[in-house]
Amino acid sequence: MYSIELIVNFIIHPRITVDSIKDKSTLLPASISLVFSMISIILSAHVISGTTRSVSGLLITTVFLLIIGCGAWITLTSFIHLGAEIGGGNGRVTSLLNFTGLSTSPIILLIPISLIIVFLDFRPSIIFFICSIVILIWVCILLMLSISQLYSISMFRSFLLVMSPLYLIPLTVAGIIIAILMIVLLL
Amino acid sequence: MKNKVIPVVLVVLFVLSLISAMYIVLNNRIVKTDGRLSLSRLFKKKSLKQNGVGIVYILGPIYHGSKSPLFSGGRSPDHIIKRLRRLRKRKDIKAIILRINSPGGSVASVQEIYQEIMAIRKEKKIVVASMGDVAASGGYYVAAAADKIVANPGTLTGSIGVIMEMGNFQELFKKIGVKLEVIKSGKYKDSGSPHRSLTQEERKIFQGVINDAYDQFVRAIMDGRNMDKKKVLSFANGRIFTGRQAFERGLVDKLGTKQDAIMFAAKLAGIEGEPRIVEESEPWAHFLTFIENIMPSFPLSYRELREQNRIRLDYILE
Repeated sequence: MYSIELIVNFIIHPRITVDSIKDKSTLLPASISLVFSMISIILSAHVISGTTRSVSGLLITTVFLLIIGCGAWITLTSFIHLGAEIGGGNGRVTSLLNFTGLSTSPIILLIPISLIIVFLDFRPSIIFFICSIVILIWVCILLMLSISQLYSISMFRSFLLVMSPLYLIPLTVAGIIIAILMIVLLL
Repeated sequence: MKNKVIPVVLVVLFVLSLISAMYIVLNNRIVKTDGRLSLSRLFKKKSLKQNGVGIVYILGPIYHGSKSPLFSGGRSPDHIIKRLRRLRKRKDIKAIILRINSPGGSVASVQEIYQEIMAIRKEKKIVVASMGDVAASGGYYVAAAADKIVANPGTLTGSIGVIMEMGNFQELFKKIGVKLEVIKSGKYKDSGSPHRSLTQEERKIFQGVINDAYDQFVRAIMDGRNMDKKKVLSFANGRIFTGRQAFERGLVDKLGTKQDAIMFAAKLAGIEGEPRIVEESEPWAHFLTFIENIMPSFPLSYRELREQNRIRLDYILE
């Protein structure tokens, strides 16, 4: 029950919750949040698209997405931690791992939203798209708040850190290509 | 106390919505009509799960061992039969659509698919052939096995007949000074060799083979379409027809699109309302076909030329 209470409190009162659990290990609630977020993405997408699946098909898709989700969770945390450390912040990577996991909790709402949309016979894809964007912004705000308090940095800096994979990954790829080109041309 | 109530209520609500979503997704309770979704079947006892219509695609020339095995794209008869068998075994599939866009193929390949379709029909599953751009010769042979045939008015069909083509490189070899020595066990062993012309006797033998394969084609149409021989022979002279001409002559049962064929098959299978579509295709098939199409074609070597000129009976539109 502690985990669920924590997830709910994190969604409703993020600032207070971040302060109170900053130094505690909350890997279990973070993992629960991530797993249910992934399940929510799969189920809501199926409900909205009107696709039917067998139990095994649904299970395989879920496991596949969970593996990708875990990979993305660790990668995003590493990027943000690296960026925060370079930018003068000071915090623990394990705490950040907990908060990045917890930040995905609003995604859970996609299931009830998809059901309501289909029940009310709205134009499903457009409404669902708008709701998904709102939830994505909500996730980013939760993450920004957590980073800002965890590393004691400004909200603008934490915004730049949340968005870091968007510009750091292309920059890294470009850097590697330039390095390879230089080696090839110089040799 | 108040702090505990909110999480409990939220958890209960989430679990309920999770169970509902899983029930909807696993039991197909969503009806898709005109691009809109509705849960009109949510409280009905019978789900859509039993109302399946399977689609199997038969695209391109049908041969055992495609020209490049890597890029066969699931078009070989073995792949097509495998897909048909998968649908045949499924109890939830009440009807099967054969979406044909093929000029035909080798006699044996086409016959294997024909036999599989006849076996499906024996199991009281409805089979409807839907013709795309071309369903001629062997393509029509396969379609003839279906309960009903639906074609577009502009579909190219017919071309009922057998063809065997052999190259003759005798003059070319003479020009470049190549002479081939043949050692054979019997006098007909090198019949159809590209290094010499056919003798009258050999021509007679080949004609006999062609006639027999043609007779098999005619019989297949007679059995599949429940037609008498006289009627089949009236159009089985190798000529092609448009879908509309074929409809006028009774080669096809209905003019319409793929969607019309799906609804027609559903109606014949006694499916009420919108059927559930199950498409059977090989993973990567479309991608491999795309790659095959963009691959540059290289000049053929003599060995490849020989391979292409080997004697083979085809039910194919030239």
